[in-house]
Amino acid sequence: MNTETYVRRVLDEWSTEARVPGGLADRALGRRRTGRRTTRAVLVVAAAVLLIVAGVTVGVQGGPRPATHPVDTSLRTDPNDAPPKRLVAAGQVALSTYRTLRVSGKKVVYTWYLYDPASGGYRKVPWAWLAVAPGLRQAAVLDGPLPSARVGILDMKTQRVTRWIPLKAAAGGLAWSPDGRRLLVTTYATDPDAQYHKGTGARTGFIVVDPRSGEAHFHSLLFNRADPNGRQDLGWSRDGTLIWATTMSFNPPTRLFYDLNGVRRPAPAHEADSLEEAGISPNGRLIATHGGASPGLGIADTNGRTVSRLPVMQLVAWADDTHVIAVTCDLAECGGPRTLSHRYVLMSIDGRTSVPLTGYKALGIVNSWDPVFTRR
Amino acid sequence: MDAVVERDFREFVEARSPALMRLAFLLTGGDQHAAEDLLQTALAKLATRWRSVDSPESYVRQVIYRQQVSWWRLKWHRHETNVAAPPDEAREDGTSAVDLKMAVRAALSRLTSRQRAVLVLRFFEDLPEAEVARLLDCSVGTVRSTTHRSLARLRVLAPELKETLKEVRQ
Repeated sequence: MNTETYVRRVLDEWSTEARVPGGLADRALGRRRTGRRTTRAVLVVAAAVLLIVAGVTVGVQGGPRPATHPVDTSLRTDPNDAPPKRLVAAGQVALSTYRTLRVSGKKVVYTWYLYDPASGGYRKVPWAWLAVAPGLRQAAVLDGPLPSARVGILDMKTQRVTRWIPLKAAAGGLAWSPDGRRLLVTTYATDPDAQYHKGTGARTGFIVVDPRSGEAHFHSLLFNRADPNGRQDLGWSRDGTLIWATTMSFNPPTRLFYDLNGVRRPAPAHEADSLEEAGISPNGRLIATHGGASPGLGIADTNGRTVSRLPVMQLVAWADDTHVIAVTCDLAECGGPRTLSHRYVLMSIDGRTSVPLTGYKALGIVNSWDPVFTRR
Repeated sequence: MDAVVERDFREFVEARSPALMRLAFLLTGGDQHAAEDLLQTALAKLATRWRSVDSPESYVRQVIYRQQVSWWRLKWHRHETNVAAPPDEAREDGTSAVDLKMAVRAALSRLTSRQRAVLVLRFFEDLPEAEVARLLDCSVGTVRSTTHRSLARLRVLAPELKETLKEVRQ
């Protein structure tokens, strides 16, 4: 391939990220005096920022991908919007869904927006909780109020629930197995997003569901008293043979592992080493770490040696073995006490290359949104 | 503009906006907002000449090309773009496909508007040199030399492009 051919390919792919604005004919005809610039000028920036620990973290749904079909790895960005209006994706992962949140009384209320392949953007959906399966072909949804007595399997293409599966224990959290064939449902006695006093909680256990057969088995795994969050969702190990619960510790072990009957098991190598959501690289050789006493976050090898330090606030997901999706802050504010806005970027692990994936978002509840990255 | 003419204009905008936005997006180096401004300006000009223009598509594209290059000439309309700064030095081997793509995009956004316009017209629009020359109001020789210089500049701004393509050829 020569340079011309490669440039032709890059231009063609890049051009698909252009978004057609509404009302172009009106603007051209002068029917709306307010063009884009005027509209932007009158936007009011909300100043109140409420910081809250809601016990919810950004994460990747689905572990290492089983090599079953070719994966679309095209880079898709929406650097001017936060939250994004069109698909954001890099390497092996895509931003499949995001949630906004608000505090109502003594509980956190989430509003979900789901990727809609038909429009290429995100659509507000009525579900109280959801998880998109690896491959982005289906999602699991819970209807509110939580906890819910059934889980729905939603076809991403039509955005409709194709099947409801009744549950013997009420559900509040969802996680697809890395191969996308099983669903881990975290069960709760009461609303997981309500406020709980220290030492109390709501998690009762979990159910592993086979969405195809509807088979579902409940196992008890009570809430962690050391965890101040009501929501204590469980997740899958990388190979999908075990499940984990977080310990809320910055030091290893950051997770405790159990088999699918709820019996405690040793942690798989390096899977309880770090709290950073990105975790272990797809090839298993590198780990995203919180960096210990050093500033910034780090990439370490499996022997604990630091490979690089990155000037970012959070390492969210591995796009491939040499790139991570990270949260960076506004350069003018980064690291200072007034760090109020940040954005998602794709960054090489040596820190030399960084491409914005989304626009800037404010910290805290106001204007806040949390993305979930899923394996494509 | 009477109702029938306005309907025709609206139908044209509806049908052609996606393709025109892609063009404007590339010409502005991936700046969505600048691309919207560029297309809106071109469509406004088209609206005033709608009755007299034989080929609305050709007309609006020509306005977009020339507007973008003239904005660059006037110097007051250069936008910062939301892309990473390209590296100042060559990197080690093993650059991934995503890395290369990102570097080339960043490099494209660092070209001058005229250099980028020539590459977009030649390689995205697939126009012959003579047509590019007509649209940009310059000679074929200028198009040829600008294309050559633009590609050379890309290789400087994104050295991994040269290295990777060399590896592919081997």
